[in-house]
Amino acid sequence: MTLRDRIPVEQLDDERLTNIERRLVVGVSELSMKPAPRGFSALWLRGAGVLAIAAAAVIGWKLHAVPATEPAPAPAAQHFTVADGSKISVDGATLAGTASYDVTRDPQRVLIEMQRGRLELAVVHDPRRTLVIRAADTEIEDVGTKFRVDFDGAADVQVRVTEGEVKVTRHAQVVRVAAGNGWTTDRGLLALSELDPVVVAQVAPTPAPVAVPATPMRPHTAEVPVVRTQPRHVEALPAPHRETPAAPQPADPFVDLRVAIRSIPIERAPNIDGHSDAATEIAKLKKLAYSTTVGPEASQALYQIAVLLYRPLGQDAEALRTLDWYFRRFAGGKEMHAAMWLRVRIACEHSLDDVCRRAAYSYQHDVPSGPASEVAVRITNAQ
Amino acid sequence: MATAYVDDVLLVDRCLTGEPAATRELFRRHRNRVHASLFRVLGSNRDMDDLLQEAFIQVFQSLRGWRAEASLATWIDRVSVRVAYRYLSQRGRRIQTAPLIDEETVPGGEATDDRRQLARDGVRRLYAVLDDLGAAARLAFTLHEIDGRPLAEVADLVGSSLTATKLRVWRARGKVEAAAAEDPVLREFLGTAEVAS
Repeated sequence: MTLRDRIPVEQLDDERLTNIERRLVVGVSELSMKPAPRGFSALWLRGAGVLAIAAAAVIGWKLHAVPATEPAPAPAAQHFTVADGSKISVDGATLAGTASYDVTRDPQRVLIEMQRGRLELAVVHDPRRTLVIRAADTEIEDVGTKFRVDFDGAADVQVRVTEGEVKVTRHAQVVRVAAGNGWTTDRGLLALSELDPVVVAQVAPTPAPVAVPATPMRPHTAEVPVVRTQPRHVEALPAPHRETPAAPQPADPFVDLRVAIRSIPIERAPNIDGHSDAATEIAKLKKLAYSTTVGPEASQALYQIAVLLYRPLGQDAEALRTLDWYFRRFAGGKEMHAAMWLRVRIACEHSLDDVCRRAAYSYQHDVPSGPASEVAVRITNAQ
Repeated sequence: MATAYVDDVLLVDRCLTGEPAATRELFRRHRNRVHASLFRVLGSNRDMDDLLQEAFIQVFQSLRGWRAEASLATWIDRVSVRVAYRYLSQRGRRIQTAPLIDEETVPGGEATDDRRQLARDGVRRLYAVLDDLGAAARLAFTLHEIDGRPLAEVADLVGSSLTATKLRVWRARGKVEAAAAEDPVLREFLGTAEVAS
């Protein structure tokens, strides 16, 4: 039996609808609603729209000013020798450590060729460009992650992944290394706990402190500048064609937003290292979470399961499902806000879509102030 | 999709500031859908003015609670279904179903007096059977079988589990079929509907 479209709807006439509307407007005005705190988001959106139009106009003007016949310059390498562990930001990736390396950038790819040393990276994954670390005949490609590369300058490479995943390629063999794992040239894939501390060939510091100029690879498009975050000794070997240093350009707003999202720590996260530990911990937590009692232990356990599914296991969909269950079962639990933020972080990990924005909107609605809420407002307003 | 979402957020923001134009705009955007759903649940426009107004008053009262997890339309539908449920639960009288069918909607398209009369009588008798159902069963049946919403959506709207919703629809269908077995007019109307589907 289906009666769909079999019962025609008798429309209300205009007069009745007008009367309802009139009474509704009067009724709503009598509700005496206070101005909403999120009302400013409309202004924010309008402001952002104006700024976007202005930025588009400036970029359009700049592009228009470029002679059509001028050939695009080939990507040039920038050489860095960083001896004191200071940080360098390149195209959404933060590089720290004591290493000597070259950076070559083009719109689709950032190639970091290590000569030797230790490099710690926090990379915001951008599907539009890949970031590859090359150490001798090994290539490590980020898949949105935090990891470390040690290279002795000859052949031995050691990779440690603390968040997300990287792809290691050597001699046409591809290995995906997930968080909590490592990889070495001689032992292949193994757990982090199996890795010994590496004695890294030290890179001698250069005596004179030299600032690294931000040299755009493509002078007519906006590039993320190289940013010095601490005082450091740097030896910079400029490319031969280098021109006058350009002023720092604003970073990609979406990359900025993802960086901002990641900068908010996950609260009440259990301290687990490695896949096997996480799985064991989840098994323990499940006993608590699935118990019939609805107490604070159960709510905390369920939340922590979601955290572990997200990191280090990387099972985002499962983590979101667990969070949904948490919200249904423990609405008002003490981890509620942390869980809501975790949902924002997972939902916005790969794209700023409607799911992400709804999670952010929901968060800002429930937690109107604080740094995470400010990020949530930015996500909600992002277009 | 994203534009609709941003539109909804902006409109809700304006409504929350008490802007009458925004109130009117939200009502105009959603009134036809809400009215159609309520009509299919109730079977007539009797009390519809009050119900529609009540539904939207409820919407505006709880607008601050819209967390954008569901689309605004879905959220408004949920509020409307609650209003309908309350109405059905509280009424102590049968809803008098008005004759509804016009020529265009008669099966086969060739409207004859007999067919129109059959459709009118069929609808009236169908809703007479539905009047004997509980509010929850009637909502589940009408939203699924008449309004054409998937069972999962109906479950979400009425705030029940999918299993409970399926059971309600199944029981309501059984009662309608039992009534049809004894009522040739209803049987013929349902049979025509079956053929048309």
